[in-house]
Amino acid sequence: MHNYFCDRINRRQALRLGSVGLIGGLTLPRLLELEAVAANGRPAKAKSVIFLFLEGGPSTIDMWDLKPDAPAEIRGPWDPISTSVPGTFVGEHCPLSAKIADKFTILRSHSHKDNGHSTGYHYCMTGYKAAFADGQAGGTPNNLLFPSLGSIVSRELGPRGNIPTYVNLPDPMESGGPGFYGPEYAPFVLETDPVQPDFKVRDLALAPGVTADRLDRRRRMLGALDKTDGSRAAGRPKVMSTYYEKAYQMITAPDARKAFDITAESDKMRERYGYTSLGQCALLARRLVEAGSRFVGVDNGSWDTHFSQFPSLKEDLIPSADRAFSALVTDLEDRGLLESTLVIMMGEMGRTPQINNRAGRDHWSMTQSVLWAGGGVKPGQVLGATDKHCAYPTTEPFGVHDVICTIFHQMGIDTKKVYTTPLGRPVPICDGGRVIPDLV
Amino acid sequence: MFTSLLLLTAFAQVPAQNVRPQIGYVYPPGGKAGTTVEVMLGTYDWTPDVQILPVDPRVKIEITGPMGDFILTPPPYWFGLKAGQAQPPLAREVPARITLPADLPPGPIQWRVASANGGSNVGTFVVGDGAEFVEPEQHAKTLDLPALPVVANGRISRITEIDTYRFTVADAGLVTVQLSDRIGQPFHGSLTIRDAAGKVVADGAGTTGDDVVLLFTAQAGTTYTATVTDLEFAGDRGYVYRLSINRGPRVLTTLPLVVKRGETVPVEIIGWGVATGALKVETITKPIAVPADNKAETFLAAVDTPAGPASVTLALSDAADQPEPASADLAARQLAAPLAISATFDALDKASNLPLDRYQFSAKKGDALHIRAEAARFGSAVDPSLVIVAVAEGKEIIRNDDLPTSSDAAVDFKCPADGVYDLLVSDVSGLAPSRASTYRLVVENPAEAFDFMISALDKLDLPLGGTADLVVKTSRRGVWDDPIEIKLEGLPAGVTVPAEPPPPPEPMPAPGAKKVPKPKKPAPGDIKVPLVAAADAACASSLVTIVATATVGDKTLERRFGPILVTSTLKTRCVVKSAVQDGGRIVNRGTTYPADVLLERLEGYEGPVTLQMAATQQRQRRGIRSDAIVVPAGADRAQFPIFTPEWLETSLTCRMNVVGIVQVKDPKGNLRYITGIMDGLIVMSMEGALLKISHEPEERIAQTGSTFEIPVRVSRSVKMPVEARVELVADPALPGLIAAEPIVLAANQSAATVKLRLVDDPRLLGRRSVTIRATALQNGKWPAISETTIPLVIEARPAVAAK
Repeated sequence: MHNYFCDRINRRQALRLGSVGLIGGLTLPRLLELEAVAANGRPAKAKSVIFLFLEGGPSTIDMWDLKPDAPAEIRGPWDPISTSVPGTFVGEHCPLSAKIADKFTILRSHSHKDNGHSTGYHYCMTGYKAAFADGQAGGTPNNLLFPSLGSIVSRELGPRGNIPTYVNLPDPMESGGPGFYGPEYAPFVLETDPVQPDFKVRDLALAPGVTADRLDRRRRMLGALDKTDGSRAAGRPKVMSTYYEKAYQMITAPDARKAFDITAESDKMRERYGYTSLGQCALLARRLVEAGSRFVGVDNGSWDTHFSQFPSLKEDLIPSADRAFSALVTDLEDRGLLESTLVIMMGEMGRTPQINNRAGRDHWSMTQSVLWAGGGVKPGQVLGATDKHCAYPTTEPFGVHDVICTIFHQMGIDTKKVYTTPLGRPVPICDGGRVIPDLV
Repeated sequence: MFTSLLLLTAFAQVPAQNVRPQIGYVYPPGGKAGTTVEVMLGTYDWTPDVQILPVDPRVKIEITGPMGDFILTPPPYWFGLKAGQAQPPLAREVPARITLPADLPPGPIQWRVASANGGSNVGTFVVGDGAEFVEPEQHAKTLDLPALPVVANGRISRITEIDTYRFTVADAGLVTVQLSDRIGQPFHGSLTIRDAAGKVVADGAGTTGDDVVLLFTAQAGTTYTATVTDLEFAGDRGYVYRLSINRGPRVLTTLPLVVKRGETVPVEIIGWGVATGALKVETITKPIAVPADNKAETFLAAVDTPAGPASVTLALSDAADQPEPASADLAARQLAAPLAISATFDALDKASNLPLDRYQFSAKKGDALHIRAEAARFGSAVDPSLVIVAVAEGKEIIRNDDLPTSSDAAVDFKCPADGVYDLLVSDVSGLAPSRASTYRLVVENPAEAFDFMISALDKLDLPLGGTADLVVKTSRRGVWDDPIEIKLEGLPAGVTVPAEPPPPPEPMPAPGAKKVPKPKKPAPGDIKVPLVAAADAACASSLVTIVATATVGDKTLERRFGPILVTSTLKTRCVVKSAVQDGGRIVNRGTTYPADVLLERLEGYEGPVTLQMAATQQRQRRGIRSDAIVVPAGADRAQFPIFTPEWLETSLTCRMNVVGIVQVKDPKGNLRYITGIMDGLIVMSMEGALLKISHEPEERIAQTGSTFEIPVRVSRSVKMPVEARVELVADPALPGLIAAEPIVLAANQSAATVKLRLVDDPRLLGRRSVTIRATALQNGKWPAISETTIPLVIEARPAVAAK
């Protein structure tokens, strides 16, 4: 009779926490071990990373690297505005970021050669070129071999408390998977949008009708089963037991629920970030790193503006990014978290200088501006430059490997480390690259 | 300057085009000859002025009522990877009546529609000769079928739907169950037969593009169930099917495959249970007489088998096929043109261990032979391949596996040197050898051959006052080069073939392109027939037959091809364009997005334009909907409201495709509805909802004849500080049995208690659910909607104790 109540949540589901059940928690001994490794000669400046990923390819020539002297079909309709840093200009629809330009650095000479969405995403998130054609990846995650940035950070640094180490907001990042590291290092995924008025992380609450005592009895029963059945000590049952244990820790500890409770923020604070998906995810990301998450990736789509791009850029996309980024940086600073939190905003590519005949810009990976703040990077700079059409870097270009190397460097992660796949292939966590000079 | 740049690119990016009407499906998809069948036509982008054209003039199809609204595919929906899968267009259904004369043979009949926007694809309706059963819209889990033989007409109308039919076999023996799943929107049908104990007795799925056919041996008086699903548990209103269940043998093929007119010949009938009724491929031989005056290509013969009556289809010719030599010895398998052999791959070739037949012939240098292996036209599953090997050198001379339009094989052999040649005919279909693997081998001398085939596209549209070429493709057999004369029968009024062909139009660059394309050279064998539509004629359409005639010496051959749907059209009068495309605007799910659209009127038209959803939409269309709006004369932009349900994924953009429709009269004063495509799509970037209604998950038991309270909570974003209306959504399955008064929550209120009034009616008993909807108006105009579905157990009100 009771089977069909409680919105069809059954006993098994009560223990299936996390929509993919993949929470990056580790044991205390392992954590201590990891922290010792992290301190191996490289004092970590950043404890956490918030990675705002503008999926589709933001038009940085309209945002961070304007070319007012270029022909109209290149420069676009918008003018540059001055910023709080004399001599630094950004696009007119980024006024909030302009005001805090002294708190972040624009890297204008980011450049690579992958012009595809899913392949570019894979490259940016893993540091390895995709082995599939653009658009041909099998789903999310599409990085089935190479671990993502967040998974590497999760593995190298481990958790801080009962909070997921690696989180994707609001949806799984297309290349945000753990690759061969395995599900232990996969992101915790909400698959719900914090902009919604009823936002809550479903999997952090006990199932209706299940009390804490009842859950504890189930856990002990599962433990007894593990002891009596030797086959459960290895392979998939063991992995599942790990999930159950992590899930139990999360569901019984108040930290995670508290961190995900975005309604605890004042309306004023929420408004400061903007009532957009990107804004509220950025705010949630701040709460998560504050609580202990190591890597929060925010996936924000719709930046693939091939056709009639200017209305959506002007009305929605740029203002939402401008507000979210500026609020995040200043909020972190206000809380004393900016020095220990590295904030990066970028996409998988930039967009063509030439406005096409349908009033849009196409894929262009040769130039893209990447924004850096906190985490020990030097603020208030513009690094690198592009030519008069924003087509190619005119200074030393920095690529995906350099971005990844710099992130790891700031987090105190040994970039020379190599892991071996189950089939014996050595995979360096950083496939080349260098720390971007003058950025740190 | 930049503004002018944008204006320059605002229009004319894609050529203005009409949106042709398309046929989706007919439900029920079949009916019995000699009856009148009330059906619903699933239509895509039809306008009120469409003309219906059955290919068989004896069939009548009449529209009997107005077109309904768009039928949005109901939940459940797929999310994640599968959400992006292509889906059939959204249909609007039109009631119609199909009258089938009694002498129609069983099988599919075809029909088309046309309007001033052009001609449609081909629609199919299947004529049966036995009992027909139609799956009703609302029904119990399992449907009981009448006595066999019977055909169930059904459809898999939504994702995860499983249709289950129960039938009883009166007499023991072979039963054939056939699922035809490609007569509406094609799907991959999956069919399972279970016995009364639930044990699977046969199952299969349509993975090869053919019907699913299952056979099993039934026990007398036993009840079985047949379940039909899509292989991936997809569903759509257009996934209509016919499930035929017959007791008796099933004929697969015959030997010979071709018989001579006017002769009575012994025909080996090959099929399941044709000799004993057992579940195995068997053969029997029966004499079959073919009337001499039968001019048809095929002949349907009724035969009695020991296992029951069956029907056999034979191809007709003016010459009899030879039987395949029984011996594998090449001495007995010598070929000499002209020759036609009905053969079968009933054993593996000993040397190659493949289904392969060996033949041999002698030829002199320069001799020519045309050799072909036919299987497709006989319905055989064989995929023949031909190889010719020079015996002396052991060298392969020529090989062919497939023809351009068929899996049959043919080679034109030019002998390189005097000698003996082996002809190897093999089956590359992968089938195991079987007597049912039949094919026909034809050997001809090209110098003596005189034959040809014609083909063309199945439709042609041309605007009034315009021209178009009907391209007739010809392929000749033989070495003759005499002319082929083409005539067209049944052209629509106002469309003619001019005595002097008009000059070809000047090539124009494509929109946005700078280069003028070079005119295409006609392919060898193409005959262009220029057609002209008079500028002062009415729009019209008809089914046209191509008649091609060629004469060589004293022999004249006539070939007919058709029907071709020829339609005279009116040029489109509008182009609709989304003001914002890629990237789109941020839209909160559950809200109504007033999309800015731009409108360009063409051909001097200045009147109002109706904008409505197009039938063909894109991914993540799950429940996205719009009502039609009218843009008044003079207005060149409008807001097109699009409702986006609250369950849409935020990780995918949503799109809307819109059609513009204007009413104009053709030169004869007939009112026409002219459609215009959308340039680009309206794109929406989905974010979380602004309004959500929720309930506490708990056990709820209500009683009939009582009032039951359900507390709900309405959450609103700060972007929506307005009152909300809370109401019960009527359940069409429980009409009038549960009611509740609507509640209006002020902007500062979030809690409400919905008081359900349950009628004292036993139909309510059991597990039910009620859906509560909250609605608020964004910007005072555009509705935001959230719904929550609440499980409920309804028990009978306790009886009042008698006093």
